[in-house]
Amino acid sequence: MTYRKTVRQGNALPRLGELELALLEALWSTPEQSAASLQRRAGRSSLSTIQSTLERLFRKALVHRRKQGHAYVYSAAMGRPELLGRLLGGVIRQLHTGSLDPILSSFVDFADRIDGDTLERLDELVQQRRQARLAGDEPC
Amino acid sequence: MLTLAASMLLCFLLLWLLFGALSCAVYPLVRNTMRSIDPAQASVLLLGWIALPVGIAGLTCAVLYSPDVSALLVAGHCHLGSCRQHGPQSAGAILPAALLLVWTALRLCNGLRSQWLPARRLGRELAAVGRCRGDYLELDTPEAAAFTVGWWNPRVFITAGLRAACSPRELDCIVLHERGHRRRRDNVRLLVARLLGQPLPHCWSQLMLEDLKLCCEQASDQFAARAVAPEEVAAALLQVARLQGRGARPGVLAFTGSHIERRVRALLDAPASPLPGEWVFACVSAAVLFTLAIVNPLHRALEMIP
Repeated sequence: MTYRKTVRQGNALPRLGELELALLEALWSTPEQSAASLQRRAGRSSLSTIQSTLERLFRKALVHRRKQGHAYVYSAAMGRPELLGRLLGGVIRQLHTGSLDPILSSFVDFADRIDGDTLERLDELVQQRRQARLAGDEPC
Repeated sequence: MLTLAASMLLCFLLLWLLFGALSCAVYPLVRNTMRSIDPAQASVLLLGWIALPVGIAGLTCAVLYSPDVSALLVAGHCHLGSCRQHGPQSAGAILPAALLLVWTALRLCNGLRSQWLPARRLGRELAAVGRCRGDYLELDTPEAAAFTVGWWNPRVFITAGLRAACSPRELDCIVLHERGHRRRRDNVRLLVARLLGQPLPHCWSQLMLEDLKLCCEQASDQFAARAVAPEEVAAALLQVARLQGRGARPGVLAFTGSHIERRVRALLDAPASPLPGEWVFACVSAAVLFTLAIVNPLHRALEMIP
């Protein structure tokens, strides 16, 4: 099963690009901003890039907008903790199903189950080695 | 010119697939040796083993279609009165070469599309929401997890749940282990291995890929064990396994056989010694000699294609 398939099935949060996340960060720190003021803050991107990125965020229902004069004013549709929770929830779900295995190295694979007895036995072994090392380290 | 290019391509792709199938079939015979030597060396040798089919295919084609070299290896013969040195050519190679090229290109593109891009995207997303804690980024979730994402500049992520449940010493072991992955570029190593196995059915190369992953994990365990005691790394492994086991969702997880026990035992036992350099040299020499030995029969076989 590919990562892409699982994302479609399991992660309700749409994928976010670097600039999309940067704009959301800007809207969380200062709500109600126009594309022009966001562009001044982002600096490196042109106004049209900012406008199209905001349009994408609006279509993903991640920002609200209202008309003010000739321009739209944008605000984040959800707070940072909620977005973080949804994003990380999706990642953890995929870690559990093992669909992220091909693209990351886990300290311990979630799919790698070990029964309680083996865990206890290995624990004892580790303790024995620890004690043996400490005894060996002690000066005669 | 088209006939020559198609013949060359067909020869290369057929040899790649053939030797790929052969390397998968023979791997169980060398598996025990791979698992008994130093994991850092084993990961290099295993990647070499996985890359061997494409390497031999490339070398064979280079020799086969290089007039100067093939003159030394191919018995002289003439075609329609022309006796000059030549690479084997067949007009019938164009269609199969095109089909095989499309198949291989699609498989490789699919491999890149499903791994390279998602990892970059995931790394960027998590980096944007993670909190920098020096060597790693902390993810604000109560679940216990630690992992490295990214190819050239991988980043280490540790969840707040894991940080809260582990002692500072265990956390040090985890960070050192993940730093080992980063330094050894294990993610790139695994990506290359998976891509090289793409033209073959996944189940054929699965055993080698699983072993390569285990070798990378063990090599990173050893990396961490050089800075702290091996027992501490083993204890950290057991602690994380215990925490992740608690968070397991019944019905979602499949039992795939535990690598944890093998990793813990490898840390507690005496370190495995590397394969002597002479052995590695002998294996590489055998591969080169094998390549040279098949040039003549292969030349004849390819010329028999209508």
